Amino acid sequence: DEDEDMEEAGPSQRQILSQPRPSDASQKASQTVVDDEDSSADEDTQRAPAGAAATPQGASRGEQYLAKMNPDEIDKKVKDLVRLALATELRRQPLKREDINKQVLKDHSRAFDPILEKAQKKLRDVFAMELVLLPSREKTRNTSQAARRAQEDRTTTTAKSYILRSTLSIDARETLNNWGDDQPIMALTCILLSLIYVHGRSITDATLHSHLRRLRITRDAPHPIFGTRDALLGTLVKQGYVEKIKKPNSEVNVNDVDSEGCEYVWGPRAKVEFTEDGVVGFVTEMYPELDPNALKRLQNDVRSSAGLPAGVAAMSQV
Amino acid sequence: MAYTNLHRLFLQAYLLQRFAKEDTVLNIYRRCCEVAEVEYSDRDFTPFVGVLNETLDTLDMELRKGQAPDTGATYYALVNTNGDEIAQRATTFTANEVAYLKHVIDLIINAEDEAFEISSTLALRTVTPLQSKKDAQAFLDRLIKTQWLDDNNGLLSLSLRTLLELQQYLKTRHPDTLEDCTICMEIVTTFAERCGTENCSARLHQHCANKYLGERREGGRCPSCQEAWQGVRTGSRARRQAEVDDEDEGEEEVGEEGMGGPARKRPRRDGGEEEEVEMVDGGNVNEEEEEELPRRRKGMGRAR
Repeated sequence: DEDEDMEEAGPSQRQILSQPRPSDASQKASQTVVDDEDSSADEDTQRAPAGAAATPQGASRGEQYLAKMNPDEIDKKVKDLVRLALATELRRQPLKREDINKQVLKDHSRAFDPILEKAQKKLRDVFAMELVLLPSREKTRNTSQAARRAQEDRTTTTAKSYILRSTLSIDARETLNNWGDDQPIMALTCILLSLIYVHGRSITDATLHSHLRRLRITRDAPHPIFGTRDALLGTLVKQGYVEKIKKPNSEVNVNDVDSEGCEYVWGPRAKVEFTEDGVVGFVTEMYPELDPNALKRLQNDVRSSAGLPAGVAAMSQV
Repeated sequence: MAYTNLHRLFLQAYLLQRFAKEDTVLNIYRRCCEVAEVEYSDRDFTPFVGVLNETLDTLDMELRKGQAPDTGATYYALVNTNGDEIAQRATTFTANEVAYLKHVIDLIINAEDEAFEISSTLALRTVTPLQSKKDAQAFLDRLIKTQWLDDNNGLLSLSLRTLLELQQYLKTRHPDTLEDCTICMEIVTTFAERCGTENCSARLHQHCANKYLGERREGGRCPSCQEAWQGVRTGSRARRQAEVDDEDEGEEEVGEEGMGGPARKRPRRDGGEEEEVEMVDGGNVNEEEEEELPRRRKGMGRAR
């Protein structure tokens, strides 16, 4: 019996910490030095730069700089970075690299990589959390891969931003789920992200508005919990859960007077915080008591509606 | 005890909660024990917090325990012990809101007679840097809802959450006005008693006095001057409550109070008597306008 096995094996059997994600692993291999552009051209989630302790050239510039700093000062900066990460996350804002430089590193911005790595260790040790680089926004949907890459290259290192993510397994997190006051809006966010997903990862504003209307979230009359529709969507965009894209040459939907001809897609934060499996699981949970075959068919349906071949786990986070 | 996944689980669960009653906290702890497959016992919690705080101290944070002034119920707050710019980034209030809150806190602490509470009317008298009374009132409501201020019948006082979270700030800003309870060494505000002995400055939370001196205070001695305890209740609300307790029949409601000492009788409410003004707003009776507190029963003295 499964349960008995778990008990016998003791606490080590239960997965408390999550496995690193496939996309993360491929990033770990990449070498990063403070000034280099790392392989951020794709939209995969990346872990923060690994401090480059093992570059063939010897200690990185960052590490060399660190060696000259006063150890107490290093400790203080590590502590401040951890505290800044927590404080920023409490407001669901991304932590920008320039903020880290301004508020924590100040004159020592060259030590960014090693200090970040030490802060990561502290975050993992104390909280089982880590900073994760946010993928960039999608901007326009119609550009080619090459055009998008060109756009990425223009992004400098300082425009990067991070959010805090738990390193606990989904199992552990589900038991502990405590969003506090954010409970209703997080539940709504899950629903909206799932809707966008099954619509093929992108949804017109007209369609989204009609879904929201069903939830009594309308443009004018404020919902007792969620307020007015546009304020709500604005918040979700600001927090990075959802991204609003203006479609070029789109036709405004004549049936919806307040459609702007825009589309909504998953934002950078959603790509980091949610997984495809999670969404598929969430959607299929709505259907009570399916036998395994029916469940599998449903899961495939959900994935294919998102525009993927059935059963293929996406390499990107969406 | 080592620092383990159990501590990490608990912190993640409590990071968003931040302030809760003891049984809620123990519930969270119990669920974490289940996930970590550790046997749960509520007696383990205190040493668990000890280990937790040793680590949190390296990040200028602390899981602080405190008692609510009115009920003595135990709460836990996850606080920053260093209130620098970085910690201030965590606040969900705007800069203007923070400035207004600090102003309200000052008013509360400076209220006369160690009342440590003010009417919302007084709070709204100056609303800068917020834009309007409406904004300020909405903000006050939010503060009450999120437990930064307590509201007792329209009187605003500092909640336990504020006392725990802003402890350093309050003590630095009001070093002479704020006193510590002689028994538990935490800041004393509302629901307090002071030693009646001349020259003794001992002050106690009512819940501490209940535990240390017994609910009836019989035979107890002042922990500071050792004289037989003769408590003088500070603060207007406590005084009102004392009057309700002392009064014989004929008085119907708690809602007004007189100035001055604890034993003063309240005026009867027949027609023709001068109505006394609430002193809780810290203002001078003669100079300020007489303003009616929100919750007063209608008809009190209005129809003469």
